Amino acid sequence: MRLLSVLAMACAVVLAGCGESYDSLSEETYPLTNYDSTAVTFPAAYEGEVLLVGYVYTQCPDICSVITANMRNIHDALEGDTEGVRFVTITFDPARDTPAQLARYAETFGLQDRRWDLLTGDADTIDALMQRMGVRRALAGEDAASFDGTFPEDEDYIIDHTDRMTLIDGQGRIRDYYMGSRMPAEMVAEDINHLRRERS
Amino acid sequence: MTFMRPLALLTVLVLLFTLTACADEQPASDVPLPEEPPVPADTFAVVDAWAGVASEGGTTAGYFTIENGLARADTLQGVTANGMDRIEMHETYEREDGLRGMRPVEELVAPPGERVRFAPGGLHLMLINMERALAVGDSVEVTLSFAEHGAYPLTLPVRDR
Ligand SMILES: [Cu+2]
Repeated sequence: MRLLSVLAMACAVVLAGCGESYDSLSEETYPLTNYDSTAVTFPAAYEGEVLLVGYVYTQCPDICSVITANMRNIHDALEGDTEGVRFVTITFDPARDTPAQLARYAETFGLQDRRWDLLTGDADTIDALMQRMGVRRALAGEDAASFDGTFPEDEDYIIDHTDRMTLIDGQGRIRDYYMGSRMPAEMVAEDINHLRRERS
Repeated sequence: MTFMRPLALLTVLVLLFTLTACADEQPASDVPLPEEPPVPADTFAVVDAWAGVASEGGTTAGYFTIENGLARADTLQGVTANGMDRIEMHETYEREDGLRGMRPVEELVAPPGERVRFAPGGLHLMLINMERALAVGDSVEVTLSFAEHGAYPLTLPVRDR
């Protein structure tokens, strides 16, 4: 009977992995601010929309620019059909990334005319949200475990961080994680379209 | 005990199904790079230079490729530029704990007969606190300094990533 129980366990894994039990954010509330200074309650503000979320800080011109450019490629891969989809960039450097700074970033990358929000918040909210989304951060070269969500005041620090995008469905459930800078745009666009079909 | 055989087979099938059904952690694509031509002999050049867009007061990155076709190594020892608070050589790297980090690079050897690439996600110039915004059509002048070759002026046209 041992094999039968292995079989039962394998079935349980299938159901747990692909069935009902998605990790859901729907009961959680993160008060954030968009780049136009309007208040956004994450993720409730996006209920019913498929969300692609990326995490950056704007003083990071290399890998974070690659992540944002990749998200823009994903947006392009939807070929103008962005109905029911929202792109969200959340900074993990709230001290420097004010709404005004995020507005400059949006303009630089040409994100303003897209369905795209760029969010910041107070340090505690951002820290809690990043922990929740599995985005680890550390001051350059330092241990991530010793990072407590606050940054030095010298305005000149580098943040090492997880390279990640998260796909969230219209019910606030986390459906996938990707490596933000390297995940091929077409594949993510397919996943977005899959969730949109599921929704309707 | 032969009745266990089909059950074992079924188990394997279910496990396989488990793996394929949930295989959603797609890896990064490993498209092989096209065969590249050899570094031109007897010349030393820096090619394919560009910089990313930037907002006023913002920080951006610059990229290029060193082609050392000479018989001996050279060393990139630094970079200078006007129009920004400062400019540094950096490297984005994967830390042991999986985080993506960024660290300064003091100097860099360009071995004979080889290319050294500054490219997104790896080596880059860090252009810190630009005095004015950089848009497509603009360019940035920098000077690389090599141990052997000396000063190497370079124009980085601005690209929209
Ligand atoms: Cu850098």
